[in-house]
Amino acid sequence: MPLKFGIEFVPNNPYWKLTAYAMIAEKQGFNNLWVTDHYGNRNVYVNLTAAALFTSKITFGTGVTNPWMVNPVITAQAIASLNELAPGRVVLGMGAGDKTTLEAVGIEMGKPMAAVNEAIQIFRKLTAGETVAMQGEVFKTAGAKFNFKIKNKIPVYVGAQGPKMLEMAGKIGDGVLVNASHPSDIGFAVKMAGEGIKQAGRKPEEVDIAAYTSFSISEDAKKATKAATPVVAFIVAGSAPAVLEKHGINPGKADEIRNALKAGNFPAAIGAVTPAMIDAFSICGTPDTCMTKIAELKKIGIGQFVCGSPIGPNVKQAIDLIGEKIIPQFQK
Amino acid sequence: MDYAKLVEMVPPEQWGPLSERLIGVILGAKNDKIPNSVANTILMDMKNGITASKKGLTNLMEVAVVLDVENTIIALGEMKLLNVAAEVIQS
Repeated sequence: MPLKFGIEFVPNNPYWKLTAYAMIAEKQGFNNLWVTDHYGNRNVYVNLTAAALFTSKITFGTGVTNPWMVNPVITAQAIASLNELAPGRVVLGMGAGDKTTLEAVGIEMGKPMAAVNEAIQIFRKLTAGETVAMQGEVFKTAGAKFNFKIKNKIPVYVGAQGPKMLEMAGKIGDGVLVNASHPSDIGFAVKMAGEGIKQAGRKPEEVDIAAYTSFSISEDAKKATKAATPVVAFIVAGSAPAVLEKHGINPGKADEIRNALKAGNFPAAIGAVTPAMIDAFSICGTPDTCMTKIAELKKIGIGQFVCGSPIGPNVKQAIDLIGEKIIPQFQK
Repeated sequence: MDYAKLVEMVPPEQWGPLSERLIGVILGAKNDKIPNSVANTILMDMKNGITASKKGLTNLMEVAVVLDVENTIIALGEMKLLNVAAEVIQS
């Protein structure tokens, strides 16, 4: 089966830039557009709406939202409304959320597995036209129902990284968004999601496992790496010691980066990023290098490859490069 | 500056490649302060596939010059459109 290609955009620029990039990505053959959801940036649904109005084929969704910041009923309403704008082209991407981000707005992140599971149940029932009366561990509803109908089933992708969430994603998701770039991490994710798929008595082809990578491409390998480095610094700073040790990265080095970022000393943080970190947490380089790494992930069992931030030192050129040199190789 | 006249100075066979370069300049510009109506016009031109037409290229040229004149001149120079680059510099 041909590998699907997705692309992630962070709405940290005015809507028209993301919309233009979405159009270019669609023209270059990308299948999926993922827009991140963080209160510090522009609103994800406003940006998805603009992208929906200016595109005609690409599938799009939140990459990812969480059950805490917005009540799942309203998330379902937003996604269902988007589906009216672009029927059959909308998906929901739902993950547990980021603890630091949630704490910044005073939200306590309790029971992430239950929250994601229940939010997805609420979403599915509402979008199927059902009344939702749920006494969950996290969410309680007492008869929520939409006053409008959704004609098609809207797929749900579960953002997952840890073993339990990956297993649950395999059980309940139409897709899994694996936040990783390295073959060993993707291999682990495919295995764990596979466990969930098996336990639920589902077929592997029912679940689209997507590698949601930190990606940077350029004809100039040095420029590609330079663009990926700040993103890798943030990933390292946010990674658990066990994850770092798995990749042979000294947690002390990660502390150094974390402290530099906290102090706002970005040059120090970026300067502390090592080639091993780049290799562990990103896919970057020339088209040939990237193609080899993507092919390796495809062999492991992914169905979709997502080009996440930064995409490249020059985003438009990077999208064009992917569309011209990479995507056609995986359509054969 | 008469942007339509600038476009007339560009050989039609270069309208396609130049439109792609100018879209790159616009999207890569640090300055993103353009009126929404202008941004929407560019988006509509892209959607309708007319960025390489005279009208579309004129719109792109104007926005590129407003947002990032330096990289617009570089793009024109790299495409050997030196007379057009010179016009932009002089105005």
